[in-house]
Amino acid sequence: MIRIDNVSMRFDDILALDHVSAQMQTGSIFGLVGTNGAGKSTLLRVVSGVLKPQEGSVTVDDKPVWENPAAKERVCFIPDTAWFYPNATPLGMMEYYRLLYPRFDAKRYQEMLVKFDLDPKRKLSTFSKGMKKQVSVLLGVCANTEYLLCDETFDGLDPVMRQAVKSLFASEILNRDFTPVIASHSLREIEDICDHVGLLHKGGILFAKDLDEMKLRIHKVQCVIPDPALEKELHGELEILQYDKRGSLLTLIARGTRDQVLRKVQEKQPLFCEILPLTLEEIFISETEVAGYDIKNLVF
Amino acid sequence: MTSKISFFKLARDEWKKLTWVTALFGIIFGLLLPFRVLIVMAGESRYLDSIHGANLARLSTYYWEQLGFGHWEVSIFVIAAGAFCALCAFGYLHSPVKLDFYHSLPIKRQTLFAAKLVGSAFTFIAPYVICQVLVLLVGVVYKVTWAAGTAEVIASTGFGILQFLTSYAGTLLAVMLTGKMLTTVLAVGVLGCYIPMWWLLSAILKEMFLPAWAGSAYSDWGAVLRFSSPWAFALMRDLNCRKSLVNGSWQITWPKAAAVLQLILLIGALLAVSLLLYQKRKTERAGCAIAFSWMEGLIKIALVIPTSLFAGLVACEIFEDSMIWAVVFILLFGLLGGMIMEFIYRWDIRQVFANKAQLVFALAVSCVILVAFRYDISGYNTWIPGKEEVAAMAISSRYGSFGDYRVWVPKDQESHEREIDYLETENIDPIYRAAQAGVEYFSGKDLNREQLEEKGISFTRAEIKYRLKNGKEVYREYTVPLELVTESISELLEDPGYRERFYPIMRCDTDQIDYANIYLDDEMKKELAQAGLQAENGESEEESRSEENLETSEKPEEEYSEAKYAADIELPPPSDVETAEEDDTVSQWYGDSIMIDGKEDLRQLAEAYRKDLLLASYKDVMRFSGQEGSLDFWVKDQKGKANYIADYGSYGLTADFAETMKFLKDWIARETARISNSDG
Repeated sequence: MIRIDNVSMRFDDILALDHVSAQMQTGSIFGLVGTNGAGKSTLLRVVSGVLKPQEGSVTVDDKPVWENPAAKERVCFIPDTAWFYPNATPLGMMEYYRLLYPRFDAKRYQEMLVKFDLDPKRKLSTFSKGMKKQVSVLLGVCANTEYLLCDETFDGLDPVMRQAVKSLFASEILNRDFTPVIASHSLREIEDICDHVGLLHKGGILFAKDLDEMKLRIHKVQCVIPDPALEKELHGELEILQYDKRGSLLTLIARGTRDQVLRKVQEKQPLFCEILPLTLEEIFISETEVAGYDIKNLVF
Repeated sequence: MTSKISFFKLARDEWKKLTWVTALFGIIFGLLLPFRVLIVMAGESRYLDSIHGANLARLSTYYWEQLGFGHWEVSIFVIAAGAFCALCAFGYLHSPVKLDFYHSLPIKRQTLFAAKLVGSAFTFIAPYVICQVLVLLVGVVYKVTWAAGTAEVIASTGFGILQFLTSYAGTLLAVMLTGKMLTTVLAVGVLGCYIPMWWLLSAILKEMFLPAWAGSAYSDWGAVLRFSSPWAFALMRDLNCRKSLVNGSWQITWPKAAAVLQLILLIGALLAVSLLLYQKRKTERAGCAIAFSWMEGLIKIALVIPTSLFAGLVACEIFEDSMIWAVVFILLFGLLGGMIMEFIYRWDIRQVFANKAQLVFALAVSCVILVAFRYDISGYNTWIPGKEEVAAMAISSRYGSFGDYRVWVPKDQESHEREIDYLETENIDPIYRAAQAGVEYFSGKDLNREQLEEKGISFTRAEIKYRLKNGKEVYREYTVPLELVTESISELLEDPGYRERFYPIMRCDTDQIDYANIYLDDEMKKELAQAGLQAENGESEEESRSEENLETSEKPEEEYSEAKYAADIELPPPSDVETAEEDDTVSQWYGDSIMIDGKEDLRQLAEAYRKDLLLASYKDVMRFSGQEGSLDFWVKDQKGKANYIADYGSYGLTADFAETMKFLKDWIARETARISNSDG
């Protein structure tokens, strides 16, 4: 488990991280979302041991990460802009990673290169941005570390490759002890893969929660309640996070289990009632509005 | 798991990444070393074949001249290679993208540091060593290799690697202190020039505003330069290694073990500091001008002060000591310097006036320094210790010349750094009077030089040393009336012990004297001519005096030519001798000077002159070289350390110097007789 405990990071007069605390559980996919400049990359660089926080601590499996190879060997960091040494080829980078990550799976890497249709002997400087991204993801995955920190990894990948990478992550989670942490400015990119999500804003983490748990506890209902008095009653009985009425069609997002929410609505004798699927975006809007933030200005 | 990462594999990998640097160094040192030697050997071999036939000894001379120590051009490239290599290996510290990669790797920074260092050092070491081996192979091909030379090549190769590492470590320090390549290059320049810049500045300040400053402010330039930066230190060390051909074999002045140790210690210290800074520097400072933000202000102040001071001094020079202009220049150029610094820091023209307090502080310090020197606020020029505080004093006037005092030292003694150190005396009264006059001159109390010079009073510069009772030694140089200096020294010379120390010729070994030149005045010429004529005629001195010069006209022309050659005396041809007789001008017999170089003659001359010196007045002894009535002794350096160096001391000589004149007459007589005998 990666434990981030009260971490603060300041660049001159810019507060990049403001007492951030979070836990990234082993075996899950942690999504880190936030606008540009929210502090996602800084947090990942702190977790990977690139930056030393001015306050707080980061531990990987209870080992402090700063200048500690024993902790850092469990983490591989794929930065936003991948760097390869001059004249490097995918095979050349493989040799270098093998040197640095003794558990590097060269066979799998070469197989993946073929699957991703990447020429192993071509100079990386001639690759497109997306292809470089693919190589860096493959290097990161094949390094066989327990944690893989991906900064805007899907940025620049085409939809097919995006899906391929997600599948790759999923298969890694199935096959070994693997915990990817994916930072992105877009919820939509990671909503179908993450099971834990943390929202960063202005250097502070607004919340970090289990996505399934959130989905189980929040529901979206569409209904038509003819009696305005009953509709008003419903407001008092449900913990409504979002409320929208167009004509007689009422759409609301309320906290509670599916049965609890449905039962309350049914009690108001609706002409029509159904539970709609919630997007991650809607969950976030609901949660952050409750926390007093206008989420629309934070993400998307 | 970490232990599985092999340091050596990592270092090898770093080397592999810099293959292009290895290739570049291979080309450069290939051309500088084996190729150059090969070209020289091929050319010289062909030349010797055509002129003398095969001549191995001469060919080997050419070969050994080309290798080993003492090739400054190779040293410069080695030092440049060190700087270049450090920039290539640690350039990643300036790139946030590269740092994200390197610092996320599961290795400690010190391991990465060491791997980068070792890997990149081999980009130089491998081609350099191979090129030196190729140089030896060229020698093998031409059959001119032998053990001593091979040892020199090995030693110089090792020394070259030390020079490389010194330069590398110095540049690495600059890399660690900065966050951009541009500022790294500037930092190398600043680290290289900062100490010489301050030294030069202080020297100019002393020269301009401290006339009482004793000794040339520029005299220690070489020493300052040598220790001013790692690059200069490495380069100057090599210049100490010399080799020369003595009796057909090479003699090498090896670098001293202490010098090598100093280099090793310097390398170790620089690398340790660099590693410490590497561990301390923040990754996020990559891309910033300076790696440690707290240093920005210090560096700005440290650079603005000397820059503005230089500008102020230029203003003083241009506007004849105008303090108003000096301050204007300080403010103007200080402001400009501060703006440039802020621009380098922030790369934003709108922020060039940032941190005004630092700029104001720097400009204030510059103004204070200039004013302090200009108005001698410390009282340096007018300081004089109380007489009761002084244990001993010494005086040395620049009037006249006894040559470089350091060569006039007996072989069993060490030379002092300053001539004045030989001249200490506890008879301080005469010197203290001169010092008071000098202080009064500087304080402008009652000495107006122009008015006094109009009255015919001459001034001279006199260096004075105070040895205080508390053990402190203080040196000052004053402008003092020449008459007062002469009086003071004359008074001191009444003590024979002081006289022996005062005149360098009194203390040197006579076998150090290489030759002597005597510049004759009319009286001396006359007396020596008589001695020469007397010897020609085989008469006694008295007879010769009575008969004057009559016999000289009878001498054949050849004899005079021989005498002239032997003694460097310009004898007139026989036809002119009669004219000389008619004009009663004995000086026509001789030219202006006599040169004596016989070992025994020089010993006798020195002994005779020393006897005269014990009786002569200071005024009579003070003469300039080449002046009529002077005697120049040319003396070899002490202990034969550099026997090709000789220096002269010029002393007065008149016909009243009885012992010397007696020797010269005898010498003329001997020479003339010798020539006559050889002709006969």
